[in-house]
Amino acid sequence: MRKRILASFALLALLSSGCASHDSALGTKPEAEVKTQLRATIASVQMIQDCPDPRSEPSSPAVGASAAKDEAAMQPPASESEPAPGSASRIAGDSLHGGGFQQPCTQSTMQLSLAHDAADAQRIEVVAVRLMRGTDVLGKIAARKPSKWNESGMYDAWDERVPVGSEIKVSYRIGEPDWSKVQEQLGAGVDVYSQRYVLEVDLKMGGTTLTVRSPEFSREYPHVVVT
Amino acid sequence: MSRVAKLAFVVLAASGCEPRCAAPTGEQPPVAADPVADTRQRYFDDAAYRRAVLAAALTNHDNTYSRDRLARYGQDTGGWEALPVWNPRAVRLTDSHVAALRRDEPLALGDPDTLWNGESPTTDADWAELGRRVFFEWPLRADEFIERALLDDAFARSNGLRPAKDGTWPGLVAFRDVDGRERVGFTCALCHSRIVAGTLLTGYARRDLDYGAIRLAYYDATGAPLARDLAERMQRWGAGRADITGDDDEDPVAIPDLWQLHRLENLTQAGTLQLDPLDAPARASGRSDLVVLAIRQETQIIQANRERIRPPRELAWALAVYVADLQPIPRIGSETDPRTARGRELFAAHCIGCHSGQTGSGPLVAAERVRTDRALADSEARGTGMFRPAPLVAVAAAAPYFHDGSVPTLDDVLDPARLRDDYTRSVRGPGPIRGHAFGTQLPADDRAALVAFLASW
Repeated sequence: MRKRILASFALLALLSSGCASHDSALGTKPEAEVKTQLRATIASVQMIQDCPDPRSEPSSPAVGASAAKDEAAMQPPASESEPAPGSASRIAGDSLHGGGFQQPCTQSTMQLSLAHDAADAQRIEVVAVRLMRGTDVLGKIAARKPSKWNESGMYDAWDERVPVGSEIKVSYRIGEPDWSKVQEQLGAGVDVYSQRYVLEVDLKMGGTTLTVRSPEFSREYPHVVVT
Repeated sequence: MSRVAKLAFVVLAASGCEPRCAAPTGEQPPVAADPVADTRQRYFDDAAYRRAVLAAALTNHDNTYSRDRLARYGQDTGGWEALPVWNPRAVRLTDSHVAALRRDEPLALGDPDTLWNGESPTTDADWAELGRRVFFEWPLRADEFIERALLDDAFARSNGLRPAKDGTWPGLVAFRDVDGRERVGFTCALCHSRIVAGTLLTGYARRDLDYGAIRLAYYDATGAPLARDLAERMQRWGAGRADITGDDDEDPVAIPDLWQLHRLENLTQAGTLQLDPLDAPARASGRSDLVVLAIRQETQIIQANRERIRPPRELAWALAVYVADLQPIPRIGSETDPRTARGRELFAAHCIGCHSGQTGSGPLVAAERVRTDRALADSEARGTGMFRPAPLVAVAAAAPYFHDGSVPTLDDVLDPARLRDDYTRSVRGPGPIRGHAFGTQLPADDRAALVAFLASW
């Protein structure tokens, strides 16, 4: 019954960029090699639903949207879509005080840990998010609303700058792939909920792109009560 | 995998040692002064050890529960280890919070202290006390269904939500979630504590909690759409039952009592985790059962909180210490009942083959032998192909019975009428409840004696 334990997908990825050393033929002292390393790990992914962003929040562009916008059937970032009354995309919780109760909606998210060893704060950008099964790309996903874990113990809006000398924990809301296309690729009759997926995320820092993969996950049913 | 092999696996995986690293023949390894302290510290510090214990404890590595954990837990740097550590700011929900909800006002949480002050307890009692706070105050998740239910006092009370004498609502908290919003959330105590005659009993399943009804009322009140089949499922849960697995199968379970978990061999009705993945001496001296329990709680908290945070491991350990040794309510039956002695003989003759442990539970039994509804045993989420024999501690006060809470009384468990098509007392509605026919063939007097003995457990 037991199978071999699946290999960990935690990744410690190294990105090198910056100046090459100038080993001068004239014998001048070479400049010190400048190497910038970004360390990125995807801690978790929950693929549940894509919900409208609370109206009290300022809208933000969907990162990775440029890579995903050619997906004709991809859902738009929820902040750009007005939910239909009674639709599954209306959100609860945020509306508790003053807005009445609405359709429950649990937002899909991905959490990452980031650090680098550059001398200055660095801006990172999520340029693409892909839903994968093995090496097959099943769809593209938009990420938006970056937030960073703060000292008060909550996620705050974040400008995607990674400070010097510390590891930060961040979270993105993520959209959904076009599940009908995913179904098409997997084949009729395959239950898209019971498959094991990974996210592949392209992160850009400086002029270079780093790709990291998430641990395996399944698409979650919105209505389940897992304890 | 045999217990011995598991132990070897755990020891080697956790230490990184080749077999040649073992103590030389004839020498005994030094005995730790406080093996529980060593075990606890190793759980805190050693990811490889945590992962090895988890891998050894999981009964079926192929179900979703196991695959999720094996993919994400106990890694050096990635997976859940990379999540931020959350020390929530939560307070027990009070009548004044509920009154604010009913006035459609903010919860006015203010600036509560974090649940934990960051100092590790120094005594077992202090660990248990910290665990009690986690049990009652750690928000497993915000719950809009319960928030809505609280608006109607009569509805809330009739569905298992009610305050204690001190004005707090056990199992519910007001807290600031990880996005900074003030919410009502539920804790372990929602399902595993109960007020009886004004007294709060911890560990006792809240069998009047009808979470399905609470959910349905939300949809009724808001007009939010709900698929008919889901609505029918929630209707069928009834009080004291809920489907808490991550798959789409219909496999609700009865909320279990949490008496004397440290004496059990397995966790969950399908035996998803073995509490004793190491050999018995290791469990006795090092409390490996506490490590399994702590991992169960730690990963449960992570998943319930949507994998956006992880708890301080100290709090998972404290919770394990607390729930491991909750004592049962007083037994209902009497040792002096003249039928009890006869019932004990019958139990030894007919039941002890499976109900063999200190708690009346025992090693897992193949589902095809038990022959009850096997949806849970076969579930993609947590199934193992087996069932855990039900613990029998305070069993007379644990109705309804079977893993899915379908049988209303102990008498019905043994009544052959339960197996017939014209049976009408099933919690799930008219019709037979198949399986676990053990004892139903006994004469009525013997069945009554067996029930009397069980009531004395």
